[in-house]
Amino acid sequence: MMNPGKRERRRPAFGRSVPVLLGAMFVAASCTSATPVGESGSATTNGDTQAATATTEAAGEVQRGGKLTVGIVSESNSWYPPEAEWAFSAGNLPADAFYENLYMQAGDGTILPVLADRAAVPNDDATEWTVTLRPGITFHDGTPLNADALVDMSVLWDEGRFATPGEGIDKTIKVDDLTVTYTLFESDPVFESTLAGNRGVAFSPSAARGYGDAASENPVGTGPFVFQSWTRDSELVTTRNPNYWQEGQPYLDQITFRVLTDGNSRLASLESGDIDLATQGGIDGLAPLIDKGFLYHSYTGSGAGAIIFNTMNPPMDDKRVRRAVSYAIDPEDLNAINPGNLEGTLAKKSQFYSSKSPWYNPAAEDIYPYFDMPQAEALVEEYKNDPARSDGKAAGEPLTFQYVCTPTPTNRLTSQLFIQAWEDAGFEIDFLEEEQGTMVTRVVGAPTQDPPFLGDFQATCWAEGNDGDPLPLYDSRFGDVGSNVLNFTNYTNDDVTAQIDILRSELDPAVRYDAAAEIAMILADELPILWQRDGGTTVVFNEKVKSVNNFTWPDGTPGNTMDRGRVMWQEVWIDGAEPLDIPTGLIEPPAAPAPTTTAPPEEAGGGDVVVNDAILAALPGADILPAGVTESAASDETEQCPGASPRDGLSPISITAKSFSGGDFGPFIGTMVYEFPAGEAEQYMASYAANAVGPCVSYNTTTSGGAPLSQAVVVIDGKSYGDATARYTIRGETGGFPVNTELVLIRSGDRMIRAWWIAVGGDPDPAMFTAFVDAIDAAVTSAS
Amino acid sequence: MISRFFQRINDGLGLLFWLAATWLIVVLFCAAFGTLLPLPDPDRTQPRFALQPVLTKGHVLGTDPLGRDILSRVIAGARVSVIISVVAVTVGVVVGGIIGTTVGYRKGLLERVTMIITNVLLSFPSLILLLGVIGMVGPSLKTITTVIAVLSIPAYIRFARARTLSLSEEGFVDAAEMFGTRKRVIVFRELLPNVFATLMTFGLLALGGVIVAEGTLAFLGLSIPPPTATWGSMIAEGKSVIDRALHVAIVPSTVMFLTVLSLNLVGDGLRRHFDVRETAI
Repeated sequence: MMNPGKRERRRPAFGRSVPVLLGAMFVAASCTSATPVGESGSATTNGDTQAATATTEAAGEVQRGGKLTVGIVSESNSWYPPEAEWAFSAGNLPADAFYENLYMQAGDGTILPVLADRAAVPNDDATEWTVTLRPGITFHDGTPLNADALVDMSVLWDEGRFATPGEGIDKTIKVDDLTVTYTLFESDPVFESTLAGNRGVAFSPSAARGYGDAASENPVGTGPFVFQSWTRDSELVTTRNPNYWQEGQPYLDQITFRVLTDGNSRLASLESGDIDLATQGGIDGLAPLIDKGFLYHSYTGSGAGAIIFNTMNPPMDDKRVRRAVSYAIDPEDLNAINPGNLEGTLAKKSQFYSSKSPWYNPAAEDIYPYFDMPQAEALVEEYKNDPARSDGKAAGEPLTFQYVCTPTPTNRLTSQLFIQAWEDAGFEIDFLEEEQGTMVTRVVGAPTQDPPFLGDFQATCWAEGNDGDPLPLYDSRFGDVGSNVLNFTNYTNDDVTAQIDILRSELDPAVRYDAAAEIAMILADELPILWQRDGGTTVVFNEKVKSVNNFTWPDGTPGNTMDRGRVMWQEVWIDGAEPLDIPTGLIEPPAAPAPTTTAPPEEAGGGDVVVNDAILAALPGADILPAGVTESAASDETEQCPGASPRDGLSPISITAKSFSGGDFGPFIGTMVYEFPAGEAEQYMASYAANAVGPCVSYNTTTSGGAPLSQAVVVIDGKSYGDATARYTIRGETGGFPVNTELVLIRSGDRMIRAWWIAVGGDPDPAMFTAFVDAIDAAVTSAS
Repeated sequence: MISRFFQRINDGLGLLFWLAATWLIVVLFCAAFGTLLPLPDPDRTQPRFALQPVLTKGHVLGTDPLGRDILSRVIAGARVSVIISVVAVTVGVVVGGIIGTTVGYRKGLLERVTMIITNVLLSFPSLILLLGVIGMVGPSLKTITTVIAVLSIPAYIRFARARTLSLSEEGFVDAAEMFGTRKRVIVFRELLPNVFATLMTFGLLALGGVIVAEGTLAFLGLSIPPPTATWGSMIAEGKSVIDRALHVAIVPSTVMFLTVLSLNLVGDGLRRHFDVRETAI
């Protein structure tokens, strides 16, 4: 995402973090809704579900036809998977109508094939995964879902645009017509879970190319419904896919998704019959509807209510204080004002995973600091009277901490409850209410902090929890503080790190469970996160809507979908529905532009690669780069942005690259050597100058210092380079973080060297940058 | 004798005036001495006793979603409403009155500039301006009082200036000028006492507006942070349970309604009593 010239070679945690962060923010929003107090609805628990509660749907004979109208909270920034950020009650619901995944996670945590024909097959060290598709599946534009499509989808993912990086996938290699092998940058024993996420969504690459930038508004997948129209923030219409690969499905003729942002309005629309099904955060406002005969499925697998501590900010760096905070909270009181289910039953929580998750460790409950006011008072006193207390105050001074939370109705109630409890335990509380965006910024911190992203808080309300594999969860939440923006608590622990390493290297499920269970034990004791209760999302619908919770896996295995918080629209039908007289045709996207892919080095100008290799070999190494920067790649490469290069019909004969990285947050440093046909290098540089920095740099940029090529030779820090040189200083921002780039183009004959230095949160070091450019110039001169 | 008493009341300010004044005295008493009353701590949460109905034993007006005594909180909220409204109106009356009277009497460039600024400030939608400023400086008793006071000053300037323009034509001002009294003295000794008398009744009417403004801020979550009780925040808390416990929102709403109505009635009564005419405004 931040590299204007070349794909990332590592798993770019920073790049991943921005959409994940936005997702976390969404979850925080969805979990802060008000909930009924002390009332139990007529709901009964569905024993089949995992972490879900539900009313029971009456069975009946499937009826075809009809139109379903669904009320959703919000939509998506885009329907193009490489740039989309979906959450359950927003993007995922419509997306599940027109898209499908290669794999999906079942309620018991296992990953099962959907569009894939069978489980993915890893090599010995899980760095290569072979995936085979089901035969006979076509996209909504009529093109086949085959190995070529998967390879092309990977190219589109890597192109960047607004890009979410390729989730650690280095190469996608076609094995046969229906089989590809994904080569990863590093071992990933749970790669199938990646393909069960956005990265595994099948979209038509030819349609995406045909639509170009409009691909975000024209999704073309393989799903049971075909996208028809979208009025942003208003309505999205889909119609039945007549060529759907699962025989006999779907049953509905049309699904319309309507955006109704206000929860009360959504439920009112449901009650009045304007919509048939609505999504809701938690169980807010559901009880009256359930009493009137409406049905619901509630999913509590993620987004639990929590309080996170900044374990690097006194007094929260002291485990005694964190545990005292927890001991003071009475879950019965909490449940009385903010129950997690309509039954009002108490649901204690002790870890990321809900009690129904396969990763749940019941032993953590035994050591978790549940309500014990005398213990809380004792720990507060112990800390207060400790002469070496971490907050720097004298023994006996009051123990104070700041609690930050959002001013939503429910959070206001829980905050006041907590403050009362903590004051009873002997704390003094500085309470601060902040809007969600401000609070998230406070928690995340800035890259300029020491360590980066330290944050500026002591304790804050939060939404956490997980139902996926523990590796990406624990790796991001408790990895190195300076390079893991999602380590909100700034908590690290060698024992946790050791268990994460086991999760990363082991394939044996039992061994992996033990590692995850051990982490749950450590966290329950150390308490970087205080758990309130499970949270999640709910769908509520009228009694005519049937089979909301059903999903028969393609292999015939019965399942349900709300255990994963999803609705499989192909299964849903309406009692009393009649076929609609509406067109249900396929999509005819614009023709893709003529291929402009760069010729691979081995197919063109092989002799030139030798020269390029010589240049690369002579390029600067770690000796002149900042400490900690290591070479991350040195190989033949193709241009990252086929849409941007070649420009104006110019085609490099070869492109060779070398790059360096200083960890997940950079700096990112690299060079690419372009070999052009005679005369084209000059035109290419002119084109580059005319386009300022080029469309590869898709984040919010302002440029300064772009030197026009007409000057022929640009002087950098008193020196001139090559036949023509241009330098760009890019001041940009991505995800709220400043990203500053120095970019230099050096032309030497028919070669162009593009060198970049990207600094996150600061500027590239001027002296080192000059040395870097010096070394590039020397390499070009000697090799040419 | 009783009938004569009521007759006397009706001959003067009217029964409604005295009923309203009595209510305001009760509110003022609660604001001043509420903490001395034998009532539960208004901030003490008891979630397991949440949403008790009105006339529950020990909780005459019931309890809120956190099990707190609504009567205690209404009384505690009176303190906040009284402090904010009285301080904001007093500051507005004093500062706005002095500026308005001064520029109204002295006229000239100072008056023109002052009135341009005043008109500009008055042309902003006041609630939007209030929300924006509170959003920037952060909500607290001090900031809310200050911001409301400052934002209300232009209205008082305009009122005081208009009153001064008419008073300036009066004989006592001419007389003072003929005796060679300095203009500053005329402003402070001759004009301001007359302006303040009418400005006070205007301020009394504005008290209700300030209480409603604070309530609006609280309802939007921009007033004094919890657990401090304010009428607006109590109404906001009641909104989420209105389908099950109507009294949680109705009680503070009613108290706020009665208080604002009483302020209007008392203000109107006093205005009539002092024969303030607004035609010159």
